[in-house]
Amino acid sequence: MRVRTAAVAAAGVGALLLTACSGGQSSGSSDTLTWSMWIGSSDDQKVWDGVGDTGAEASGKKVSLQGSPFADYWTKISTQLGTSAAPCIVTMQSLRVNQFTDGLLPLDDLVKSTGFDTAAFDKGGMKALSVDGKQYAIPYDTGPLLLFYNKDAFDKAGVAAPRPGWTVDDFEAAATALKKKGQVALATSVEDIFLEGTILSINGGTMIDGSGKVDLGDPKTAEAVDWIAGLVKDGTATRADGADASADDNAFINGTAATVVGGPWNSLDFKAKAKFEVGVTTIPSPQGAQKTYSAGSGFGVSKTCSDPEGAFKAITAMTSEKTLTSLAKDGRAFPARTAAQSAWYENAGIDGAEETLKSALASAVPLPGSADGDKLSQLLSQYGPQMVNGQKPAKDVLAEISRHLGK
Amino acid sequence: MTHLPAHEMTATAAPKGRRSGGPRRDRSGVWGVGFVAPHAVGLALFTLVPIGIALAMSLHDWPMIGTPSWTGFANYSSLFGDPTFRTALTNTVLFVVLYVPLNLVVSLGMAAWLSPKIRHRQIFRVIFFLPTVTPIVANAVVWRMLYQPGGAIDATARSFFGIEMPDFLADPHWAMIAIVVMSVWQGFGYNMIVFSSALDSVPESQLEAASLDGANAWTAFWRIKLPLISPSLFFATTMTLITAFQVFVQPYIMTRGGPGDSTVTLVQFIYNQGFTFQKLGLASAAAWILFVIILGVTAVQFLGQKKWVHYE
Repeated sequence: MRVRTAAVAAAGVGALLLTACSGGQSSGSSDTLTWSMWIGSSDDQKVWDGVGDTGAEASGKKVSLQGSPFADYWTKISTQLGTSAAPCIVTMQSLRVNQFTDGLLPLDDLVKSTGFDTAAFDKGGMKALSVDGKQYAIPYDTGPLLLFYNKDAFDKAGVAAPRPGWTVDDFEAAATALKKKGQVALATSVEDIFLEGTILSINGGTMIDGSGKVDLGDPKTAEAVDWIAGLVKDGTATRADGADASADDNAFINGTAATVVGGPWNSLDFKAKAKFEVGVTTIPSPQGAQKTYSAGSGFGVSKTCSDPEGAFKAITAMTSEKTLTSLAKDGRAFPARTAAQSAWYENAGIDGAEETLKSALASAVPLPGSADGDKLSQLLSQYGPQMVNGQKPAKDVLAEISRHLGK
Repeated sequence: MTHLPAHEMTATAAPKGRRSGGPRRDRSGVWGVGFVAPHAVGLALFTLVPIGIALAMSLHDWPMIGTPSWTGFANYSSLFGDPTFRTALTNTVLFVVLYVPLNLVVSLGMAAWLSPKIRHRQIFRVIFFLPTVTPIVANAVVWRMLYQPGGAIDATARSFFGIEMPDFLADPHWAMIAIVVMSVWQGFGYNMIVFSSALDSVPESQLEAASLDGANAWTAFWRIKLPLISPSLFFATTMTLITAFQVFVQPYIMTRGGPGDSTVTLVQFIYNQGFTFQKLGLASAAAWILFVIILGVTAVQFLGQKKWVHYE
């Protein structure tokens, strides 16, 4: 009797472990749509839960939100896509969509069959989430890269508030004036989006070509990086920190640096945390050659989703004018739907935000994504500080990064 | 009282045992299996099966999304021809060579100092053990701030000595040393506790005998205490070596492997290949190479222990 009890117990424990092992999440059970999203705080969670509710109402299914911090999100989603554990609704960032096309469902047929109106969205934002003419996600936000500045520090240095369209020369003059007051002008970053955005505005240099190929051989790119390195050397820019992606934001918020490159999605955070008046303008460009990148994020459907129609219904509601207006009112994201944009301007609370955004949007091109995007991002965090901080010539470091990418 | 010859005793005892004690012995065996089962199943599921799967993956071109294809030993040969892998291997060996002896010397030194004669030794023990039980990520973040230009180390050096410290984590010559120092601070507490308890159990009588024979404290330490705690030293050396080869968090948080590739370690290389470059086959091959290295080093230690480890 006792022998049998022991054997049963052993088999029970084994079975239990096996079940624990195989208990992965299924993509779309009959009454639930899983939705993966990057989430940074409990505030975020609350807002996105609300967005999920609109999707649930429209699809008639429960929308279950799976959140992870932005940096971990990409590791997690890359292990999930293509497996049965993939979420049905996948949040995608424009510059990373190229890497995940194998796991995402092109939405064109669903757009057509449901009569979804893509014309109501910002053209650039929509295009940024398509690859080779196929639409992989519907954008909820978009935004050109901008330059946030510390209005108090500028006033103190006697520098007039910069206007949209200001030039590299204007910036250098402001940096010199700020330095006289002991104020560092620019917070540098080696994060792909912000470094690429700064370079494009400064002199038109690029790191990824229009076809999505990483190409670091453009001499203008090296020149622009050397220009930033010159600022670091002069003491008018902070040193870049490859291990800390938020170092530039922190330097701006705590007043160490008077300007930082960011997107409209940063404005709420900056305004809430900074103990000075935050202003926003375009990133300095050469006279008459204003240019900036725009990037955005949206919702796509995984290939393994068992109910793509239901998922698309949910996405339609999650990107509706009502939902995006509500997100804009929270200052969460600059809406990709043009009709909802005025709500963002009204609630931004930053003087000149509308004028700056309109000026930047007029000169914005979508930040191209690349299948090698994550590699480039990793290599920039490792090697980038050496060139941005002026320890090695940018040309040499860019060649070194290319060598690693070429393998 | 009669004495039976030994063989007769065995002969009479054995059938008796078979008659009444046999089934009991069998039953205890089944119970044993029952008790071992959870651990055995766990070991098989979470250790042996993944090791096997990793070996199979290492022989494939295994993308994160998409269909794997058989490549044989191509991943291994491409690793040996890859300068980044060689750099990661060299960096890891450099870390091991610097970290392991330093850790052992510091932990043994602290354990020797914290003899029962020291007042409040329990408090000191807790203080020195604290870094080991605090999350390593938090420690690495704090140390990154200490190392930064204008951070605590630089600011102290400036105000007291007027010297500007190098930018430790951004300078390729300093970055690895900075990581080793932080790692020793983080890790020595564990070995210190092991050594401290081993030293406490050294019999007082032997030390007294040595002192009567004229041995001073230094001789007593080298000739009596050290050989007596050699099993603990062996345990600590083995475990520290294994964990040192697996170093990841400290460089990942403090430098991301930079500046350049001066602090990329083998585990970070594996992580990058797997999760950033999405080459799971190549990552598995690198993981297997690391596994074999650790296995080899541990085996050498077990062979070498006969020469210096004294079990009472």
